[in-house]
Amino acid sequence: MAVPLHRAAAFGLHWLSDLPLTPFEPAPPGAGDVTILRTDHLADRPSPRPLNNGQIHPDGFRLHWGQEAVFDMFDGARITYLPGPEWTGAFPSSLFGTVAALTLAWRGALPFHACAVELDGEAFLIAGPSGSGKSGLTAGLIGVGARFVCDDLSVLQAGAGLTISPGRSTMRLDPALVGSIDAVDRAPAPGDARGKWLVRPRARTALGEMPVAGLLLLASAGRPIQPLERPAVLTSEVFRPRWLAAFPNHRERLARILEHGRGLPIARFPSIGEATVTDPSQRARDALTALAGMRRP
Amino acid sequence: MNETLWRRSDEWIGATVEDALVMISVERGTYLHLNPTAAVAWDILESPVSAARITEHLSSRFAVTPEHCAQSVATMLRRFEECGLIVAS
Repeated sequence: MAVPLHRAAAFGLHWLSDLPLTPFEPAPPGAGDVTILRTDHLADRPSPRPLNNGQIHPDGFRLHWGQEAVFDMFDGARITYLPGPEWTGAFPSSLFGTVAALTLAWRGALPFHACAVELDGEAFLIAGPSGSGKSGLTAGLIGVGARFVCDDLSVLQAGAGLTISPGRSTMRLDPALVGSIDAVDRAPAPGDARGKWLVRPRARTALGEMPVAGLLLLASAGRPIQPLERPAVLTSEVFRPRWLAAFPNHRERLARILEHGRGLPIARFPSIGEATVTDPSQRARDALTALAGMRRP
Repeated sequence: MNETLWRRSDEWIGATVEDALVMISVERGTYLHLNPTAAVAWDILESPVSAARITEHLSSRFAVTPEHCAQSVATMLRRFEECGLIVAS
């Protein structure tokens, strides 16, 4: 088995791997929380419970990612990958999305299908259905002074309150938006069927962890979301919900969402399909005003 | 007298929000809200308890006659059972 030479940080953990972890931030030498190594055969794992494109075991899960690779996660601390017939030589994006999210959830974290930005030390989630404009609005908010925290996948920890750590350091954007953001680097996303680009914003948060102050829900106009409704809204934005519902810590995770979700301000904001404001800069400023309205006094 | 003892099922967990209770089904992922009176009954149901004991508790706490309270408790327990919130102990 190869030696993990690559170190990176994301979602509050240190990841070690025998291949580059490009979407994560490079990390200095030190102990890792999760080690990712290639294997030449699939382990014989007990009591498989089939689910979607994989299975759940008492000590973790197995995920088949097309013909590219099979990932095995053990105890939230170790991932092995077996390259398949369509292996490209680099990790598929699923490692930094689904596999990472499920590994974090196994460890007790709360993954959400949401973007996040930081304003003055506090994070705000931007959630909504696929195609509602989460990433575009996040890019717009960065353009008016917010700092990038996460794109598409935000992983929260529930302690004394809800907190978040930066996730992948890149955003997946429509080509039309790529030029609108000050970026360290930008390139077409390998294998993206929608033609999206990967962009690493220059304005990324410098904080390792920060409190979550609110959630902007990209949705149709409607009455304000009441505190009683907050946990249900938050639950509806959970990342890979079928997988998480089958995990042994599902009950504890729901209890945390209930406990902490009731105090999290949530405001509606027009999705891109329903927006009457078409100027992206004005839309970003309007979103900034909505975020400011959620801030605790 | 109906001596059935009722207790919470393991399916639901809840959290208090502004005097009411938000409940989620661990198995189905569905939510429901209990009003403040039902939330008090849910508190009492932490240990196996009869309808008569719940009635006694609620009628001492809220301005309601024991007879009216008994009817309301019977209706509430029936709805709780239909939702899978409670089971007969």
